Parts: sequence; C-alpha cells; structure tokens
Amino acid sequence: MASEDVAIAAHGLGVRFDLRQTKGRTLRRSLAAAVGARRRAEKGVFWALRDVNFSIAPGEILGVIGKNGSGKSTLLEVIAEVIGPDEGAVQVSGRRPTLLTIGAGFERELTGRENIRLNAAYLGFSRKAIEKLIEPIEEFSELGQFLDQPLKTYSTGMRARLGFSVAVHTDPDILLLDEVLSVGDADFQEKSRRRLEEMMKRARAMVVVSHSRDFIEDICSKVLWLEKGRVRDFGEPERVIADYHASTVQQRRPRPAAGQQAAVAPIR
Amino acid sequence: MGARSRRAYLMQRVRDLYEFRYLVRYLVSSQLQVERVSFTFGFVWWLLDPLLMIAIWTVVIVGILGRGSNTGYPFPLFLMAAMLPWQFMNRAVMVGVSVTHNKELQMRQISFPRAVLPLSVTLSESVKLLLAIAIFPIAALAFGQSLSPVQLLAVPLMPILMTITVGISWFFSALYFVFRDTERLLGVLFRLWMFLSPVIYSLTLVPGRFHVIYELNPMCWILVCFRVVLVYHQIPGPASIGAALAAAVVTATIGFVFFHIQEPRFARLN
Repeated sequence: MASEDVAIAAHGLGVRFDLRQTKGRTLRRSLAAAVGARRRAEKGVFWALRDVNFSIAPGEILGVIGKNGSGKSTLLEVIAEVIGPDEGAVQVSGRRPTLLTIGAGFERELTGRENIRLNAAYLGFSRKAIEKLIEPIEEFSELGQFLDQPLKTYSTGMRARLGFSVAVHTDPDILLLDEVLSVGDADFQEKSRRRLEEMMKRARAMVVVSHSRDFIEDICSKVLWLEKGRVRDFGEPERVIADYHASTVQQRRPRPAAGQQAAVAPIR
Repeated sequence: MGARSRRAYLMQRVRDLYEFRYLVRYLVSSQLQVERVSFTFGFVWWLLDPLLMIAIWTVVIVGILGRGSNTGYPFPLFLMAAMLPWQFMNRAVMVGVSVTHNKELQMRQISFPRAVLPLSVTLSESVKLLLAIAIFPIAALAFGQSLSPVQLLAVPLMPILMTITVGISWFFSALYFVFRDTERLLGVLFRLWMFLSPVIYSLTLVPGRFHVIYELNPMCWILVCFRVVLVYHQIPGPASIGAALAAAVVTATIGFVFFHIQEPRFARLN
C-alpha cells in the first residue's frame, strides 16, 4: 500500500498512443491492416510518456514544465485516472484526483443551475453533497437570474464563469491544474485567485502545468521537466527552471509580460 | 491480469455504478428534459416508425399474400405486441451509442464510470416503452378485442427487456471505439436481426431445424413473452420466461465485460 509520506508517485510510467487508431479505425482500415499492411504497424506507435519516475510528499505542489507536446497534459490525464498507463504505475493517495476543468459535461439545453448539478454529478458527488454545494456555487458565479436560463443563451465568458465556479468548489484531495485558469473580468479574476489559493491550502497535493515561469516559481515546491515524454530533470524549482530556460533561450524571443500570459484562459 | 484480479476489477466497476447512482438519475432526467425541449412530438416520432412498419406488413401479409389470418387475432395487433418492444431496443441502443461517443470530451477530462451513459439512455428511453405498452390496450379496443388483467404482466416484462437492451447497448457503444462505422452498421444489422426474430411472424411457423438460431437470439424469448401476454392473454410458460431471464443475464454480462475490456481506449481516441 501507499506509504504515508507519498502523495503522488510515478514508477516507470509510460503511455503509448497508437497513431493508426487515433485516426479512427473503421472496418475498411482494419481489414486493410489485417491483409497486408502489418509491416507498417510498428511505426504507428508513439510514446507520449516513457520511464517517468518522480514522487512528491503531502503538502507539496509539483510544477510540470516542458515544450508543447512534451507530455505534460498526458501526465495530468494519467494522474486524474482518465487514461490508464501502458507501462509502470501511478500511485496516488487520496480520493479521486480531479482535473480542474471548465465546463466539462455541460448541456446546452439545460439551465445554468441544472448544469451545476450535472457537472457535480459527473465528478461523483452525491445528492446530499450537491445540495450543500449549489448555493455557494450560485453565489460565486454572480450569474443571478441567468442561472434559470438554458446554457445556449450564455456568452462564452458567462459559460466559462459558470464552469470555473463549479470547478473551484469541488475541493479534491489531489488538485490538478492545466495552465493558469483565468476567466472573467478583473474582479472575478481576483476572487478566483483567492479561491484557488484556499483550495491549494486544503488540497493534499497539487500538480500544475503552466508556461508561466513566475507562477511556477512562486507556488511550486518541486518541478518536473518533461522532454519528448521523458523526464529531463526533477527537483528544486529554481535550479530546474533555470536549466530549462537556459536550454530554450536560444530559440526564444524575450518573454512576454507575466500579466499577458496569465490572461490565457484554456477552455477545453 | 489473472482471472481473479479481472473479476475484482469488474466487481469494482459494478460498485462504481452504484456509487454514481445520482449521476445516472440526473442524466436520465436531463435526457428526458432535453428531448422534451427539442422535440415537442418526441414520442410521436418514436411511435411513427413501428406504426408504419405495422401498416406496411399488414398490407403485404394480409392484403397481398392473404396470410396472417391463422393467428386468430387482428394481424396489426399481433405485429404491434412485438414491434413496440423491438422498437424500444432498437432506439435505445442507437441513442445509447451516439450519446456515449458524444461524451468524449467529458471522458477525456473526468474520471467517471462510462458505463453510466448507455445505462442512463436505456432508462430514459424506457419511458417511451411504458407509453407504447399503454397504447396497446387502446389499439386492442379499437380492433374490437377485449382486455384482461393478464395483459398487465407486460409491465414486469419491461425490466427484463431493459436488461437485455442495456447489455446490447454496452456492447455496441464499446464496439464504436473499435470500429468507427459501428453506427452505420447498426441500421443494417438491426433490420436483419428483426427478420431473424419472431416479430412479423410467430415462432411456431419456424421449422424445428432453424430453432437453434432463435435460441441464441437474446431478443427472441422476451418478444414471445410480450406477445403471449398482450395478444393471447396468457401467462407465459416457465420455459419462455426462463429463457428470457437467462438472455437478460447473459446479454448484460457480456455487454458489461466487453464494455470494460474496451474502456481504456475511450479517452484516447478522437
């Protein structure tokens, strides 16, 4: 069983994507593959993560850095148990690690209030737990009477605000963040940031994927640097981040201001 | 994975379904609500297809071929008793498959038991089955037939049909992630399957040497039971009921196991 001083640990973790399958397998393609194209099959395998080892203790915040396509999001998906590993294992102590996402599982035809319930139900909350959550979420979202309107009448900003409000009230043991979440106007952003900080305090451990150097440096206690799906470095934030930037500096133009980066709202 | 750990894995998946029962309930109510909003005459559309089939086959078999009188009951009613349960299975599986793969975004972001999707569709579609079964006595009266309390036995037959349906739905929802053309295949397959099931004819007309096909057909005995209850006002024999129950258990188990063998693929493909 998990030892007490480990919140998240990966042991020889590997995730493989079959590129032929991601194209969508049809009967025709499968038949073609069975008849003659077997030789080509091995080339279609791509390891999004391979031989990944790390471990963090309770209370720690892990920052994951690396270029696009280095496997950062895949790592979060494996920890969130959305996809299973093909090699090795991830060990997580705590209940249902949750990927903080905006508005996954929303239905256009349902009202804002109904979508809050549906979203919370997808996350595994019981009826009782949802009843307790619903009022703070409604209040936090500041959507007022729009909560009784179907989601299709919402603007993109309102939708993101509703999704974010649900996300920051779920209080998971293991908090997983992909990119810096930031939606709404300045007031709402400030409120969101405070709420996120509270969540971090309560969470048992946290994993953040971000391109914002300041954000990673400010909050993380460990940093994992991924390159082409493998661990390039793992350790103290200052050292790893400095090495990472030293290695990429020749391909990089001057960094944009921190504020600009934080305004990126990833809605997936 | 050894046999024991596989078994433990599947038992855990069954417990997951129970743990997420509120999600199932909420998905059912939201599916019903979405449908009510988008189709004012949702049930009318649902009913149109079997009614059209009943009209066509009555014209062909009774009108043109001059057969079907040996059933001793108005032929449209004879068709209706099996056509309505068939339409339920057909539609619930079609909708189940499309709802399951429309939730790919959710599957990529949230770790919830995916088997709730076909399950919730089967449950929400069963409202239409109940309405359709309620229409039967009205149609029977219109054809000058009497009613009897035995026909109420159609209600306890519904859970058996629903269990068979959710098994088929799990199977084909998972097959979609193996073959992307499963949805198109389903239309053809169900048509063929209907002719291999006792829907437009009675099982007694089938020569004995073909019976093995019917014994392996999970839909066969439940359709026989519905017809015995609704048309002939009789209590189905223990053999028919037993076969229908066995079909339900076997189909749901196979569907559930196949679904979870394929499940690791779900979040990876787009």
